[in-house]
Amino acid sequence: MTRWTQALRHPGRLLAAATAGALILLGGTPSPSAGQARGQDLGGYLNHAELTRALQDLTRQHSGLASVRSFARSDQGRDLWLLTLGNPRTGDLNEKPALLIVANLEGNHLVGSSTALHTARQLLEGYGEDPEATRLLDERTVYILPRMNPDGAELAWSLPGYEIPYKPHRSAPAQGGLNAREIGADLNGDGFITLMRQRHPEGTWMVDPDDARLIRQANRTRAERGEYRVFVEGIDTTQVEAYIPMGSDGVNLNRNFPHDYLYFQPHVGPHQVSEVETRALADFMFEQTNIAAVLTFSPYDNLRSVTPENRRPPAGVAPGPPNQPANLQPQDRPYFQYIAEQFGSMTGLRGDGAADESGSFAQFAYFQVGVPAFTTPVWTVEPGSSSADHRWLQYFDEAELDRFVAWTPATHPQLGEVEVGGFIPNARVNPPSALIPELAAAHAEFITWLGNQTAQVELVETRVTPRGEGVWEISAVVANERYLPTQTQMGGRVRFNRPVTVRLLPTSGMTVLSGNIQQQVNRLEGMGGREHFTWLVQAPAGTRIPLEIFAERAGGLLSSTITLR
Amino acid sequence: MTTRMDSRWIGFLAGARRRLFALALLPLGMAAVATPAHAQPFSQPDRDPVVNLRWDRYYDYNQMTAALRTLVAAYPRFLTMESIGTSWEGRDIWAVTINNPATGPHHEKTAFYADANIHGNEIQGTETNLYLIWFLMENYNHLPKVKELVDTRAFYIIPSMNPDARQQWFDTGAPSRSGTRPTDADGDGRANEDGPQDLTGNREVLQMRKYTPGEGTHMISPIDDRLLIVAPPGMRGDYTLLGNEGTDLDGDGRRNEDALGGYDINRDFPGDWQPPHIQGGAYWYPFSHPESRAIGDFLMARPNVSALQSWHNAGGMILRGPGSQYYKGTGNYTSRDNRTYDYLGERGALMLPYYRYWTIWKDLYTVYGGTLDWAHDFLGVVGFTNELWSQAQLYQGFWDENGPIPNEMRDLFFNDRLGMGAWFHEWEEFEHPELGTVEIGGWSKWWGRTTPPFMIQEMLHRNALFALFHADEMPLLDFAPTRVERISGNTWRVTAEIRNHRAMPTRIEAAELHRVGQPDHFSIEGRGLAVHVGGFPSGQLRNEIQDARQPNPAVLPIASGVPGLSTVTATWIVSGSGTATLVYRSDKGGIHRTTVELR
Repeated sequence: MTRWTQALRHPGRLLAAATAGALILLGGTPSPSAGQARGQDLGGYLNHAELTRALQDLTRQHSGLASVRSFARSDQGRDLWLLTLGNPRTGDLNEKPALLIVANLEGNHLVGSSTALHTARQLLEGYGEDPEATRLLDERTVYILPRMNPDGAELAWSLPGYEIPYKPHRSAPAQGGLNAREIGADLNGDGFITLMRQRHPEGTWMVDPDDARLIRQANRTRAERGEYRVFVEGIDTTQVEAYIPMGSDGVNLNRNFPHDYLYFQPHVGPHQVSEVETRALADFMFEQTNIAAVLTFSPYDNLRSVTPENRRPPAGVAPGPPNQPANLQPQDRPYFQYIAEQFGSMTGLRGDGAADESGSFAQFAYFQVGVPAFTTPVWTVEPGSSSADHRWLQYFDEAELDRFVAWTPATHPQLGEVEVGGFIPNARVNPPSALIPELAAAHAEFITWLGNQTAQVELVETRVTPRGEGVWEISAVVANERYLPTQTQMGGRVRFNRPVTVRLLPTSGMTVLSGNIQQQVNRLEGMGGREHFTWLVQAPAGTRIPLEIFAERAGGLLSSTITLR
Repeated sequence: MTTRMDSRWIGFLAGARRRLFALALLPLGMAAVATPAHAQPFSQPDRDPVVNLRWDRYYDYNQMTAALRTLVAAYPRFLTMESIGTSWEGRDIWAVTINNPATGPHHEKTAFYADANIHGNEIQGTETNLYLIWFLMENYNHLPKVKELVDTRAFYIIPSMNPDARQQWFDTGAPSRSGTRPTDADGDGRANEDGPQDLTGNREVLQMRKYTPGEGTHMISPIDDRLLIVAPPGMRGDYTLLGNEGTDLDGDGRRNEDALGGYDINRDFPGDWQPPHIQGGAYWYPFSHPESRAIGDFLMARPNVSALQSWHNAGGMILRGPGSQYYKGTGNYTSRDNRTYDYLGERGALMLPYYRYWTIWKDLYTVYGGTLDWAHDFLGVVGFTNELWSQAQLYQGFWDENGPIPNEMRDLFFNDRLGMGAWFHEWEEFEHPELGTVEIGGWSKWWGRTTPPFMIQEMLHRNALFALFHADEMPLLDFAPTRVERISGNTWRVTAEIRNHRAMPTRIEAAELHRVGQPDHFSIEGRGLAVHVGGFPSGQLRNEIQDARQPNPAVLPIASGVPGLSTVTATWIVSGSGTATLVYRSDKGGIHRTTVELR
């Protein structure tokens, strides 16, 4: 979204003025510099302090089913809250298969935070009422990270005029980690940073013939001539050559993960997993080995349309070796498709999300942890044949939402006469907060379904057959009755996923005659997938042999005992 | 007898004394630090050094720490020692800074960095770093070139990056390049629960074999009864090989299936990183181990580091990046950067007989996420990895891989005749709890990868002096005399030239391409000075100005820095009078000033 912010700065000058910046000449598509409503519908959204109180209230009200702890602490000292849902009286929450919900990696994606919180509330209030929600909280663990980027989110209140998904860089925290060149200035004093257009013989932009409010790049090959230069609303105070050292700008946390990492590009951090927030999340994925599926709320999307086949990594990604997977594994794709269908029918959400997930957490969770990972923006405009900008305008018109600043003349101290206008920042990211309960209800249904469909390994049968002379055949059958298999195909490729292990424990007086005392199977299919394990042992009748099943991400460690008789 | 002088070799070998231009001013005021020259350099072997460390042995972690403390105590003026982090087991990762504070703080000097022992079983880089510190200190007062290096440069030395595995190697001999973080190699949910053990208590993990007459896979070698060979097809042998010393500690029916370690800290850096299913040894994400993170934080905080050396073993190599042929699709760095590497590596190969100057992916194997690509691409640092010690040095050429006798026979000859049997453990019977009577023996951990004691010092000296050659070739800048020409009245043309007296540029091309740190800046400052235009001399007579087109013409970014053994010239047209100051700022080349009078 911010290729155009590659305009550069000189250090030492960037703090010249919080409201001042150099001019950013737009070369591409106008940024969806969308966002809060005029009059800022932020009233319905929660800042860090309010979210903290809301989480504490929620866990107090549902203390038997919910707890909250600090997951990490941001650069500016804010706690990243981890909300854990589940019934500890029916089993260890660290062993039950878990669904992880991650929101607000992009700091301006406040709708993700609010939806995560509302979803948690609906699940908790549904316990004992709704059988599926009850089953989820009894048999599963749900981890919710409602605000992964509290420092970035807080900018929505301290810098309400800007659309900034980044975590502020240490060099300029008050500016969202942006330098003067990137941050613009509110020329017309309406409280927002929008766009400036200036009639100019070198202009490459033109008024959109389909809607005079919009501008677009003129297409010379279609005999169109540009008439405007377009800038982000701002004033050039730096007057020096543009230069941002690698890694010294605000970080988009959802570009900071190692799969398809965009080496040396703006806003990806000084290196992969460079931030305290992303490191805590990556560690959690490997240390909390009961996580069986991931859902992120983010502008990216793989639920309304599954990632296309034969996807190519974008430019800027190191090409990598031929065996580096860039696509959903063929055995996994049908599962992703079916889950996307379920998502569509439960939420009714349609439309186009940003397809480019380079460096995102969901990509990392699937390609490098091997866990099925889904992502949805929660709210977006309906699909259609016209451009997204047209559809947004149409939507705002129909909903009578004032989200577009009409072009109005202004005098710019450097450019002279310009017009200021465009979409209000974050208007296309966060809906009016009144919509959130409805969005959360739809997502809660999907979350309940998905959480209940992650794999669960169960011991369904043990049999002991005497062969005489103290020789016994032991067989054990394990099964997975849920929808998802114990391991994705990708999960079988990555190194850190463990197979399903079934073992007899060494027992005094027992000799294993055939069959390894410990046996493993990489994947147990869903929907009734079964595996048989057999041993031939010699031991006195009446010997009690402990049996263990270890199924990471599908139930953890199960213990049983086999008695020879 | 005539001496043949091949001009190509003369140019190639031109040493520290031959430069394109005379060094007019020693930077950093080092001339002010007068030290009486003593008569005897260290290389005269008729005196004891101040710190009498032995160079015919290896130092475990505690001995290494003690040696560092001794050096710091003997040379407190130049050496400081700090812990830059702790290993997985909590050992300090030590960093020694060599700097002469009388010539300026270390962070304002162009700096050389060296680490070692990132692979736990590659131990002798630690001694190489100890030697490097010791050599500079012992010779500061004796060899002018050493004094110059210590006075004009800073050195950051990490003697051991992986102290846990180092100690493990000395204590038990478990042959692991990994660290000691718990890992679950067999996927049974338990970590490190069944690795090889030193059953005989000799601080070695050797091999086990069992006498199984008529039922084995191996038989006694006709060459030497210490060796086994595979039984020929259709025949049975009398011995069965049983792998490393160890027992089935977890009772799962398998031995040694979940050993300590299993990862590679030198696959844990962000440059061209790939996950473990593509790059074996990689871990969760770049910098996921405390040891690599400590190094990462240390180097990212020191943009003045220009050169890097990592000590590994073995095989006799001076390795350079890139680690992968997929690197930008070309399999190579840019040609400009290659020239810098080649200048250093080709000369290093002459200093290090039996060492080959190799590109990692092309000549060795592919490495994603190694130290060198990270240093090059993310830090703009030119680095080498030396694989210390080649067994060919023991065999001295004739007895190489394609020698006239089988390798096993060659090895035993050297073990018997140059080691008096030190490196091969004779097979001895052992009562194994699961396998009954077995025999334990075989090659020692001291064979193969580590340099034999009688050859250690030569290895240390040649490699440390290669590092000092690299350090000496880091950029070293000064100003040529500045020219002032009156155009009219108070309007002047000022032409200033900054010179680099060494082979390495102040900024490699990768740093320019990736926007690593700041570009160099060439500027003119002065009270009341009006700068009309700033740029670079052009035209056949160099009397025209190619306008740099900067918003502020007084400050010219020099994205490529000053190339090696070359200069950058800038020209300004200014109006004013009095003193003008010319400043050249460079992350890796330091800050340099000179003044001119406009009159």
